[in-house]
Amino acid sequence: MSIINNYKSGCYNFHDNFLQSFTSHDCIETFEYIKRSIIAVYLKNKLISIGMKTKILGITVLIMLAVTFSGNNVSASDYKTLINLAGYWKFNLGDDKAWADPKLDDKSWDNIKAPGAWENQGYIGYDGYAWYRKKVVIPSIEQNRTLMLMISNIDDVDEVYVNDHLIGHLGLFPPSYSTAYGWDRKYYVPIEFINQDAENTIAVRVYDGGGEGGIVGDKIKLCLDADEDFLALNLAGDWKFKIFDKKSWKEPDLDDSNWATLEVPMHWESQGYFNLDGYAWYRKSFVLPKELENKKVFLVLGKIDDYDEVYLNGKKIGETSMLEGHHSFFGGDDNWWGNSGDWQLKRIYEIPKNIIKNGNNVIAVRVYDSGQAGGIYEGPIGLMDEESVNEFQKKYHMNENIFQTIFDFIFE
Amino acid sequence: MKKNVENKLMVLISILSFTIILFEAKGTSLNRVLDLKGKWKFSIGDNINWSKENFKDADWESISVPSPWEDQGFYGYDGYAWYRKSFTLPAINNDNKELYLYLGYVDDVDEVYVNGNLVGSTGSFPPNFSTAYNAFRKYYLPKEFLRFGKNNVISVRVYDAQLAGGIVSGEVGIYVESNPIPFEYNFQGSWKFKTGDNMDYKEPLFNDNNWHLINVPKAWEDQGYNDYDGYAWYRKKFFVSGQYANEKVVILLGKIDDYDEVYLNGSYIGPIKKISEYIDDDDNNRWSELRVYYIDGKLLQSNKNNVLAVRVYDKGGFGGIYEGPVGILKLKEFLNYWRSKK
Repeated sequence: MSIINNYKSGCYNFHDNFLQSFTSHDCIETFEYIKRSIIAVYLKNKLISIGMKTKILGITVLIMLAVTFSGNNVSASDYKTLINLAGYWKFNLGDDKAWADPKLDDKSWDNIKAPGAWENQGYIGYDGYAWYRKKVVIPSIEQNRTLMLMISNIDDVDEVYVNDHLIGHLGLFPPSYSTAYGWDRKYYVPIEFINQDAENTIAVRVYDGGGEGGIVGDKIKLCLDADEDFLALNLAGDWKFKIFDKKSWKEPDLDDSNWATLEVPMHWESQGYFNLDGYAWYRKSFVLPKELENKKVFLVLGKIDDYDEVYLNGKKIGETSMLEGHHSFFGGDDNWWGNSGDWQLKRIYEIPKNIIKNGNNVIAVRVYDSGQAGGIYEGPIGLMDEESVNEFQKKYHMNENIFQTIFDFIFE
Repeated sequence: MKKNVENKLMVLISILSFTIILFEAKGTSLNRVLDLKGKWKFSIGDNINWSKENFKDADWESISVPSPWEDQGFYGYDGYAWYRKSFTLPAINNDNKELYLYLGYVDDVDEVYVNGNLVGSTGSFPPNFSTAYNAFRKYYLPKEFLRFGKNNVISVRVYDAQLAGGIVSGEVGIYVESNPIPFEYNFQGSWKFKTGDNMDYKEPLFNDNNWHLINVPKAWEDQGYNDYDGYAWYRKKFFVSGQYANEKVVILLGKIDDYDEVYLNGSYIGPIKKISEYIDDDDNNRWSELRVYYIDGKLLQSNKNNVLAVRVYDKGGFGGIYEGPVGILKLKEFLNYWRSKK
């Protein structure tokens, strides 16, 4: 039980030796593996009916094995690699905001590999600032597609620029230094910053507060979310955002023009709200596409860390506790924020016909983050018709169904 | 039977570990190019002119090195004495090599000159006498002090407070290290040293003339500061030629027990955490970390004297800059060296 309950916190718990080296993404993969391993045990146990003690022992051993041998399993989301950015990057010690400029001549910079700690590439004992740069031709991207930059992970603090535009950051630079080592970087890359079918400059500013430093982990790549195929309307991109909590923020006629703008999907920690836990609201208005008029429509909000209540035109259309898998995961905790698996459930809410309007509609999402990373952090985000939503659910249903069965079985 | 297998496995693992340890030791050992054990010239008394290379020592006594002078006719003598040795240094190809003088163990204090140039000192002479009889003497020999294929002179000033005295035991000779880090300036050798703490000591113009000399790298416990814990400062003047303004430069300060703050020409260059922060964190591993500081070449004054000041705090046990490598070089040369090693 404790391993499972630690599953989320372990991802971000830097001091936990056992899980220290795992990024949250690894955890997701690990979990997939555990899931499969447990199925094997479950079936085996059913067959030979061995005692509970042995069963627990077997599960424990398999979980240990799964954790040890994780890293080569399917991802819980279907991000397809557009460009793998692993390999040689230009590298320079020091710190200068001008180094984000694509026009900078970086020929004299060193070449080092990323991912890979700089300590292992000649920069022994170096702590402090350094920059990475890479030029890359990005092919033309279909309209209404969301480009994500995935890095796992950076030791300790980073800011990422695409063509001199800051797209995301994590951790805090000195003087208020705070490490974000061990956190997966999942940055939304606005398409308007990209030169399609042309050269682009990605620059990563890194600060290392001690020990190994740099772009570490096992991946750095630009990705597209294959699940956006299911969307009739993609709502990823600029959303309105405000921290704290007010009931009236659900109202469709609220003036949110002075609210902050946040990219969705991306953790709010990566957009200037580092260390923010608690309540915040997201708002977005959209025009219902003609082809969805008078049809059954579903609002999909990807994944949200940790808990959400969703309003359309001022009426509540769903919340985390209504989601399939919510209670059965960890045995129905009455405190809704205590359900530590909710942060990775896919948000799929059916919109009642009498609430959605032809023409303009307003979504308001109340989010509560109980700790570490928070916000609408993973796609797909948008509207689906009934047929698409069924296919989308079918794609993941098998796994989740077995997942539930197994956990019900373990914690019966 | 099972136990037997386990035992065999343990033995195998032990052998493997030992092999690895031996390999490591071999990787860092030096090769002797000249054995200097045997007859040296010797005189009791003390005269700084005896350090000079052209001093005539023909009428001095002959004495065996290493061996206490008490065993060679100077029974009961305590006080100052000098050793001198003329020798022909082999005409080895010295590119990409560093040379060292091993002088075994000296009872109690010594100061070593090569061709009239001071190369190092261990222990502390009166009036602030402090013995270092149990410290092995290994002195870095800057190549510019040496004449390959020709005659060279080593002069050793020794002070013995009581009982056996002189160059008493151990290996004595010249040793060569192959493929060392190609430092622009190697910081091994004599530094200025003072116990206590005063932030004025970081200033390049601070007058350190009356400070003691200390050998780097070597724990200060081996050099007359037995059981000293707390703050102390090291200062080193060094000269670099060439252009650095557009270069990144690396300063290596080996390993320091326990914490350090480093100032170059009065500017702080590292580490990221100050000594007070390390003390607050009660960091117990810092002593084992190699100190490498990456600086902007603009901090260096070319063709002038530069001053490196190192504030050290030792929280207990051995203290100071105790292990190399120590020196300065351009980042690109350090990376080339590092990559060629890999």
